[in-house]
Amino acid sequence: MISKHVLQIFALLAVFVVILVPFSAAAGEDVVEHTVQVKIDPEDADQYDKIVNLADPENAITNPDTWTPSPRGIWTGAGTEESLFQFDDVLPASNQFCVITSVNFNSTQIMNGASVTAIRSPIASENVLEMSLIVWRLGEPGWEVTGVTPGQYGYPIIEGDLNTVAEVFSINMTDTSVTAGDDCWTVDGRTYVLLHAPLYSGVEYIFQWSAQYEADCRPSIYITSQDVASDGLMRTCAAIRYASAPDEVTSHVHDLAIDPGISYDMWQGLGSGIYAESVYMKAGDTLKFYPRPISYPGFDAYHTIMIPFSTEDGTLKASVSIDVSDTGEPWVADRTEWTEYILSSSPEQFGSVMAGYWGAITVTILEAVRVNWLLIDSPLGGDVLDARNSAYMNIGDVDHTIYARPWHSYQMSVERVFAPSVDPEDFIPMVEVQENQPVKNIGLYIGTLMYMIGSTMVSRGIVIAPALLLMQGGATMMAWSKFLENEAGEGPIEQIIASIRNAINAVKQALEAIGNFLLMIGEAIYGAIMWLADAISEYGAVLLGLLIIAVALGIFFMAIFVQLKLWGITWRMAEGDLQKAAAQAQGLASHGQGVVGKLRGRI
Amino acid sequence: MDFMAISTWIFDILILQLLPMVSVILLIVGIFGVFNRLPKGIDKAAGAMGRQFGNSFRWRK
Repeated sequence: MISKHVLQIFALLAVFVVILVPFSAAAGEDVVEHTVQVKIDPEDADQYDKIVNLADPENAITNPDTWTPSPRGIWTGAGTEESLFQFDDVLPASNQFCVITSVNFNSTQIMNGASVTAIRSPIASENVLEMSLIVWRLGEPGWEVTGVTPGQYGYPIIEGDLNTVAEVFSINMTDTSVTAGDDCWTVDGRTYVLLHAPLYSGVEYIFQWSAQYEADCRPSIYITSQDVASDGLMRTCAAIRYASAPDEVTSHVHDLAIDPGISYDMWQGLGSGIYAESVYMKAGDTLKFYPRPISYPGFDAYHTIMIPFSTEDGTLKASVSIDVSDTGEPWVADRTEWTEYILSSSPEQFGSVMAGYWGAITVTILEAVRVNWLLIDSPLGGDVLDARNSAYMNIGDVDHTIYARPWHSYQMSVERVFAPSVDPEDFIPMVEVQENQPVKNIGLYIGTLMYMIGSTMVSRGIVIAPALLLMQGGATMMAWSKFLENEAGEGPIEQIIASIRNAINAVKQALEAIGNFLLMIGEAIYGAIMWLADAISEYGAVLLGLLIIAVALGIFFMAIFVQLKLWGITWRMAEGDLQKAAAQAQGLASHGQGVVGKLRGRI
Repeated sequence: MDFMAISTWIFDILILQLLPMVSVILLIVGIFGVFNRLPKGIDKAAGAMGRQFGNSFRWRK
């Protein structure tokens, strides 16, 4: 039978279908190869000197090893040593060389961010006269260097949503000390900047390094083939401008698909918007900043400043001075010893409103102490071009700029505000309280009563002489009671004035008592009405519910009663006993009449 | 559950549920009673009619 063989063939085909199809699919799976190619644009590819590539694989050391000092925080940069890349432009005396790149740290590297960061410049410091660093926060992704502004002192044009984070100008290239001097140092041909500015993870920053070279030098930068910060952003823009003559300016921009040799050493972390800058300050060191302007309330008011701080024992000796814009005269806080925070009001009221650039707050430390100043920033916050988002510290006659706003409160108040203190000298003298002692007016009341009775008797023609005597006695008692009972003054005139004043006070008090009594009655009536309304709204539902239950019971039992009666009539009719049936019907009718009568009587 | 809700619930139970059920039971009992009494009634009526007829046809002396 051929059918048997056909079935076997079908079975074999099934096996092949089950096994071969997945196998062939797996065997034929395309292998995806990931290749990363770093390409330098052709126009820039050959602009380097063959002898300057100093990276030597034989003696390769890691990039962090080349740091001075060795990294002390969270270090980010190219792992292997960087290469020196030299441009072939020979610069005249008037020149400017800028390196622009962007970086986006991620949270696994620096958590939320860093507040103090040592950054190594990619520009080789050799023959550099002056260097500067500008850091921008990029609001929206994407940036382009479209050229250099014309003129002898042009600067690169960066298009993008730029918000200034920090500006470090005039880096002192002769400063070789890490621990002393400015927040920068140059060692072994590399320049470092200690940046006191909040750098957040997940935010793209643009770093622009600018350098001015000596004449007849060629600009050179360190580059790396690695992705610094592993952010997928590998780009270096180099903008070169130089003027051989005032009317002969050369400028060009190189856009290289490679990262510059920048590396970062994050010294201090960053909180979520608020962080502290811990500084050891000595007597004479200062913290200076510009408060935000406050709206003018329409009248003169005291200016009050509050600045929190933290020290080991919670106290700080410091003088606080504030410049006020309209007078230009600073006022100095009365106190110099503070606990946990500085709080002081101006000694007099000012009408003007302190505007940022005209009013500076300066805290001058009067002891040697480590102070933690709280600083506020937001990754999407203000621009440091507004000076109110910066603080300036002078430590040992060296200026340091912090690109964040000290946490403080600057407000206007109608009264002076003082920090708590156990020293009475810290407070303004209080006005002594004068207790208002009520004067006994018994004599006045009796005299008034006698006078009224006497006048009533006179008006009714009753015994004129005793009545007049009573009136005179009453008036005399009224007057003398004041002389005897009040303590207003010594002389008779003062006594009389005090008597009149006390009489007026008595009338006023009586009227007040009457008014209070009427008010009390009114409140009682109001309370009673409110109670009644509450009671109705509360118990009305209960009464209605009881009525519903009564009606339900009535309908239920009445219906059953009527049905029983009707069946009784029907049964009597079935028995053929018409008389009994009629009697049953009559009983039902009379019962109904009784019920209706009762209801009518109730209603 | 407030008092108003309790009273309306009692109304529902008594009038809408118990009363129809009791009425049906009374209907069954009533119909049963009618059929139970009908023979006696018919017997009574027939007897009365028979007596009436007997009286009518009785030979008067």
